[in-house]
Amino acid sequence: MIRVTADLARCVGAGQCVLTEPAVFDQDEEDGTVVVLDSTPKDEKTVTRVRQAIHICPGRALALVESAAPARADTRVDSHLNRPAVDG
Amino acid sequence: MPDFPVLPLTRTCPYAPPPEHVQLQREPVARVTLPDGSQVWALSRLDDIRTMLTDPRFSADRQRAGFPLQPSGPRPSAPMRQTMIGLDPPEHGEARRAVVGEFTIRRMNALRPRIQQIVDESIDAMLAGPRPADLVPALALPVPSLVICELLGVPYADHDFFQSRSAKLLHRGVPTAERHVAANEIREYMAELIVQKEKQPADDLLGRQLVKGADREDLAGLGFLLLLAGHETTGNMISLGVMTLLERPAALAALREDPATTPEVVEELLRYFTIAEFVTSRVAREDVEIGGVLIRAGDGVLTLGNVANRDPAAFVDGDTFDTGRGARHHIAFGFGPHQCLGQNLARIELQIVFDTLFARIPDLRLAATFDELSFKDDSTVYGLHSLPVTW
Repeated sequence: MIRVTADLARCVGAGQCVLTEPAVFDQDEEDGTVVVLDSTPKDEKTVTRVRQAIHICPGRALALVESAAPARADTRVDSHLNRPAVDG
Repeated sequence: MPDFPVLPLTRTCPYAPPPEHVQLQREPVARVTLPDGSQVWALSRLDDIRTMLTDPRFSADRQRAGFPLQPSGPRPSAPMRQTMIGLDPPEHGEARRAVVGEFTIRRMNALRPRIQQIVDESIDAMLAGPRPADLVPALALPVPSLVICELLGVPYADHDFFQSRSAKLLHRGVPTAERHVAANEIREYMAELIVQKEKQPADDLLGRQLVKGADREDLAGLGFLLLLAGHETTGNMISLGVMTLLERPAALAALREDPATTPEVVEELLRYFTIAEFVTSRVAREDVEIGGVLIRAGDGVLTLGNVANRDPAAFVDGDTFDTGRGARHHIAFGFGPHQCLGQNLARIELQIVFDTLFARIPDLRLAATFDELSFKDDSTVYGLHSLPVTW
């Protein structure tokens, strides 16, 4: 199963994911950080747009992980990117 | 001493980066000389720039030694506090998070009806006036200026005051001392405005930040930054976009036929012009390797965003203006934690302006030859000084 993860410590609230795939991503009203609405998108086109959102995310806060386990409700996860942590 | 090329140069063609910048693609991490004689690195590959701008070992602190393209000459006796664009972690994250909620996609979409009204009123006034008209003061500047003034809570009646000063700040030919005076005047104006809002609470961005307990001096800096960034950049993209579409009848016809494609047209215009590429300069805090080259602590780094936004490794036939490209990975708004706070407002303003202008004035055309147009070659933000149009 594919799971969308978001690292809120890296998120800079630019909203590029929401602009790319609003069915999967939303923003917190207060601080603009990402809210994952659907962490296990199945539709192929949606997954393609999620990959685009990951690529253009300026905070490199998003990832798609292959997961055998069911999705967790909590989207606050450790970084899956092998890069120095960046400021939110 | 090796003879490094002197950058930045001006565009010889409005639709393309300076040829000397393009040549640097052969040496994507290159040593270059700035007009003040200092030497910095210039990055021209999209991937290298994205990597650099997300690496916290590079600083955005404009006052740090080695930061490129700072005005030379005596500094003001009391240095100004940095605005958000000059902050590094952790201060930057705190400052950005305090205000980014004002710029969410939802909040920006909610502004659409009011932006539409402002655009319609500007077009009404232009249509009622003489022909030809200059699109810059008639539409390109007032629309984003009115929008950012309302969002911030700055009286639009004062726009001549901050318009003239922000133009000075962005003009490379203006002496340093004069720029400092202009910056101080806007800061003082903002500080006074904030005092008024403390006495009389207002439901606007500055007012809401005050209620949240924002530091007054920081808030004056934020107001200054958003006011400057909010109208110059978008104004220039409006005039450049109208010029480009009038010069390309097929692209314009496609846009008119299907307004659903307007966001893609806007995205391509942003990529194609990349009007503010040097805002994303940085200075290394430690030794860092970028693209296989060691950049030493204290070295300045320029990002050639206009070249990078045509990088053959990232864009197919990047020198071609192609509204069907659907490329969103350009860095016209920068990249990393400092990526433009107002980018989604700018997108909406551009979409509404193009859709409305070409629908309401179907026979709009340039009232000058292309060669007669005057471009902002000497400004930090590229654009048009004026755009004569008729109908």
